[in-house]
Amino acid sequence: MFAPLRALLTLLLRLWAGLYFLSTSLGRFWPCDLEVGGRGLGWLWPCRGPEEVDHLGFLAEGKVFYPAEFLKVVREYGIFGPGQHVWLNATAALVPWIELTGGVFLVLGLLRRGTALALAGLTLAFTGAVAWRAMQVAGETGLSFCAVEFDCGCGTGVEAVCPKLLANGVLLLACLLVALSDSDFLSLDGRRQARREED
Amino acid sequence: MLRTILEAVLFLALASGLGLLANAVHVAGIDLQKDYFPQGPLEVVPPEGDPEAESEAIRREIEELGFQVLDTEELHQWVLDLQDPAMGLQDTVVILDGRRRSAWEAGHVPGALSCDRYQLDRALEELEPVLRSPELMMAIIYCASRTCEDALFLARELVYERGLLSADQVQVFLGGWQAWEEAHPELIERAEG
Repeated sequence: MFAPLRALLTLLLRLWAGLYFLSTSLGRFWPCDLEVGGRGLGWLWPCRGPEEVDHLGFLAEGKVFYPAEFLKVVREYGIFGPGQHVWLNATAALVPWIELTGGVFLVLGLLRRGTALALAGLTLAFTGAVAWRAMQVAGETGLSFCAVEFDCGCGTGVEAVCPKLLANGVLLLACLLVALSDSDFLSLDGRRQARREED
Repeated sequence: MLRTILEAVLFLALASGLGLLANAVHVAGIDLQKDYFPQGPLEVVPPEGDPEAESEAIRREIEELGFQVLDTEELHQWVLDLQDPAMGLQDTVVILDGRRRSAWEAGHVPGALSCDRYQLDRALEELEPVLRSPELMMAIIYCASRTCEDALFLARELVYERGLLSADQVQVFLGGWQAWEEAHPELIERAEG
């Protein structure tokens, strides 16, 4: 691909993915009314208006700030059995911070490849868990797979599973492309590299 | 590729370290060692996506543990009685709100005290003298909704793990905050400030 185009694409995907992870972990502290040139950008990321903030409760507060409610959501997946509560607790306490730190690192372009790879792994794991739980719910309730709705702990409250899986698929693809790209355009990694070459 | 993997490991170590540190210092941090969802006597697995069945499963578990189940109108009557000084119930009945403190601050059943079950040590600093009072006859416990299990787990911990209450003192309001808010919007108390 043409190098400047590839650099621009990497930059856009990196910023989008970084801001996506920030929005899922920060809840209501994420500004939904972002605008560029008078056009709202709220649709690009999981976003909560004032009415949704009331409805979402803990998610509106941000799972980083209240891990206990995220703990309940993770438990619902049934991934961790009896006696594995330390893993369950650690997942609830650490995943929001991995998302938050990853979001900041991607936006800044710091440890860009590794961060994107780690976040791709996290997204893949959670997408698999969402699909697994949706299949369980569909099996128990007799609903079709795409009619299943539940709170996946993704920062957006109860939502339909198919759009969620699609969004996660796009996010996963974006993270993988950022991880595999060789462009460090407008990133701290790029600046560090340039300084090293100057020295 | 090896460099990317090493970067990923470094990132995960940094983010996890930050998460552990934040969890340790944050007032809403969770205890990583604690089993917040111990298996109940019935080992109930509430059916997914069926609130009625889920609520019924929680009711069975509450009763199996020896607690009473309270409905909305029974709680309403207790709230009215507690508000009536002539009844003299102030020291004999306590209502505990098991939701997070910020939810309690936003609105709670009149007279309910905040008892966030995920921050129980902190909550008990204030509540322990109340719960240990020899005058206390009954504790009514509720959480967010009829499908939330926090009231059940809170009651279980207060009775069977901490020994602060006896099972026959505990009444669990199964409908939770959701049912109260729907039935009695005129009887909602908010934290001052």
